Amino acid sequence: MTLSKDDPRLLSYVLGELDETEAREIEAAIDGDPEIRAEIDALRMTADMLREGLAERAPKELPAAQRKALEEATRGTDKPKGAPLRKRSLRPMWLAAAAVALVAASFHVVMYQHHDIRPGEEQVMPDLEALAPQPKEKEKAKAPRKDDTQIDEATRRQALRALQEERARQSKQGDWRAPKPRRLTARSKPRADENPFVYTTSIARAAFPLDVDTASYSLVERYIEEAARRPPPSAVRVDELVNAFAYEDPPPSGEEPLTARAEVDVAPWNRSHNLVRLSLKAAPLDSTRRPAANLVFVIDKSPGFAKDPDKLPLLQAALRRVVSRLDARDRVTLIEYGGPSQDPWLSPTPGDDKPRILTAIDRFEPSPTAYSPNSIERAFKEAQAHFVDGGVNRVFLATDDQFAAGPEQGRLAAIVREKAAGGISLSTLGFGPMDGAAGQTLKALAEEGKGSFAPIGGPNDARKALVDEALGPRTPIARDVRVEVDFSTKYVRSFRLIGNEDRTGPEREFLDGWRGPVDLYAGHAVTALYELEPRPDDSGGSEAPPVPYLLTLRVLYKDASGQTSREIEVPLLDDNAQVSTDFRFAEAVAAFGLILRDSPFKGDLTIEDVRKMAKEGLGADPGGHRARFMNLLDLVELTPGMTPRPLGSAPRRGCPPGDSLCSEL
Amino acid sequence: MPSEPTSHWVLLALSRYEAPLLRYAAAIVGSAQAADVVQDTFLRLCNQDRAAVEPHLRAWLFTVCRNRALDVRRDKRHVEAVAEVDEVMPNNLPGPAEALERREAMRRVLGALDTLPERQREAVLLKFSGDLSYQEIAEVLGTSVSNVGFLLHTALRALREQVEKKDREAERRSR
Repeated sequence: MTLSKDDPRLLSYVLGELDETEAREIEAAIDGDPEIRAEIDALRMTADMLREGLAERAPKELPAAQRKALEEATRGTDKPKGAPLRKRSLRPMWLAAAAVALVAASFHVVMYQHHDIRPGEEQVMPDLEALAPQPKEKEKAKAPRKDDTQIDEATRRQALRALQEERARQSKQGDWRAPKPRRLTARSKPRADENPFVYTTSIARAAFPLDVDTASYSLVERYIEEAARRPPPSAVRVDELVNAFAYEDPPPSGEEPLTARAEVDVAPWNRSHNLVRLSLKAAPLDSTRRPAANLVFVIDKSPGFAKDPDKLPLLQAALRRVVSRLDARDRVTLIEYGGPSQDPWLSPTPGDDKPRILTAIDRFEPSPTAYSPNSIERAFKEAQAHFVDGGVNRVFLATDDQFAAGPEQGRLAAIVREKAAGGISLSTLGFGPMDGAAGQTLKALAEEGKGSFAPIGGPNDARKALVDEALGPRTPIARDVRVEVDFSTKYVRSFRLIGNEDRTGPEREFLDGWRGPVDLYAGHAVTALYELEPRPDDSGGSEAPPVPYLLTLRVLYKDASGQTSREIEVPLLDDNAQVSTDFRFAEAVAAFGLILRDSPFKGDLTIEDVRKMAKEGLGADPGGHRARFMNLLDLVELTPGMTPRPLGSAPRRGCPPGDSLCSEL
Repeated sequence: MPSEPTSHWVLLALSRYEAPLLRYAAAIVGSAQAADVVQDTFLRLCNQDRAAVEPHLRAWLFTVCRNRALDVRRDKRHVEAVAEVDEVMPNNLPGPAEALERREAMRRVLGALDTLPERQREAVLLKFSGDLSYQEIAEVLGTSVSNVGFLLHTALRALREQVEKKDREAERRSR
């Protein structure tokens, strides 16, 4: 084919607008004709210059004032017909609970109603209730009580499945939008490729990041549970999945603030490799020596918050536990967020008046009254009125993904900052998905308020954020913490850090990127997984092989005062010792992540294998998180593109066109 | 179906299209007023039915942004030169010779943008500041995909000719 260098298709090619056949034609022409090649290069350069030049001249983002006005508008004007300010759509977990409540009334009814709900309809709750057949007394008893954080798992699973089937149908129509996470920790672009194996002969000392983010897990959950879709590989971060779970490693003993642990077993995806789990755990707070607490809780009172079983009921359960640990020195105040009343829901009450506090917690209910923005200010006023010298003076803001401070945010931040300087801190608890703007705002407020921001997805988070952290001063218990992992060159040929793709460059780079020391707080825990390739035994078998000494985990840190440097050293020998349930569970989660990412290292692992491992690793599972992971594995079977077909069988039917991942599996 | 609340999707759209829309608007009304135009665009988005807009969100945003920007420009009753280049891009930056040369070429290309016929200029802005596909540009400008290809092709050829002409002039002068 001869091409004129004036052909408009050359530009289309440069801009990526040609289909495959046409593009190939052009490529053939480029190879055959230097003039065409020069033309293509010139077009590319012009295009780049235009892109760069236009980008350089324009502001990168809206000025803060305009952005705020917009954020306010998205809250205020999304209902054009004079509807209430806060609009809520039905959240999936809530739906699950609704389905559970109606389970005996047949799923068809639920699904019919579900079908009937269009986004933006305010009357969702009453509608659903009105349409539902009157449940009999017996079924009523089955329905989750409002303050019950544990829903019967089997029923819940059934409900979830019904919902997932329904959603799968809808997501085929293309109206489900993939959530886009905004990260809570600063991280670079996601990478779809994996960390490589590094030879110990070139690098024998490595490190892993101590600041963990867990956003990817909730994202994966949402893809599978809400949309019945396989999450895109770049959204799956194995390290975040693994660290989304609480592990039961023994806490440090005695005066030590930190403890480290190392375990090894055969890697499930490659029997000739080893899998190593390294964990670091900070001591939980010592509740016997805590200072007096003056706690003010500002609680979201919107129906969407109160009626979601994963929101208010969780908070209430956690609050009850906080109260059980209080005594006469402490004060508790409850305030409705956005409530019109100038009086708190529960005026400051001594911690030993438990009946009164508990009643107030249990009776907390949403009231459909007007929104008023100064609840947080009032909370600070109450906190100030009962200020405890040398104690914990803290305001908690408990809300969900609908939260936005709007144009008030600047003023609010100023108040929070001022109060924090005066000794009253602000901590924020975010229920529901915290990967959007609400999460960012809450995190920023907590930072101003010298408190902590806790995204709360389940009972464990709620307990951790409230019980363990609420009652203690927020000071690091170990400073300048660094880890080093020294691999034995004798027994380890190469190693690979699993996950953390965006934080480790290939080869040398990754030693330096994020090695900066961090401060750790009470209750902090990190798990890192390495895959090791053992060095083959070259002794010739003349002697009994020694027990391989694989690596040394070293934790370097300074104590709370920042004065004394300390060190923990944990050697790891491959002595076939029994591994913990924590190891099994982390292994299962990592394997799940590798399968989702379609990692080249995943071997021939299947979801069924993951399920087996997870089951072995269930342990005591105090928060029910691991059981939820098992549910997720069940749902995976329903998700298109997730069930591998046996080798050599026909391609899966039902793959959406163009989904290469699906048809590959 | 249960969807993300309205606020959330608008904010997502904002985080995603804020920068390209600002680039585009700045090229039409200047960087000072671009923010207002973009803010207006998103305010309108807040009042839209998500299901109707979302399948062609990008084209929708750029269409509204374009109309707003053209309104603003009309009110000002004069055409803001795209090339405020001299203020924004000082050419006395230190740097290796190639970088300087490249910046010089970039200034020329941007300068030449204003000499293009209106339609061509619009297509170029939508493509290179908004990164819209041909299909989306066609939607915004109300024309066909093949015409978009033609507009861009002609525009880029004209831009390069302009730049080369200036190069030659500069060369003659330096001789």
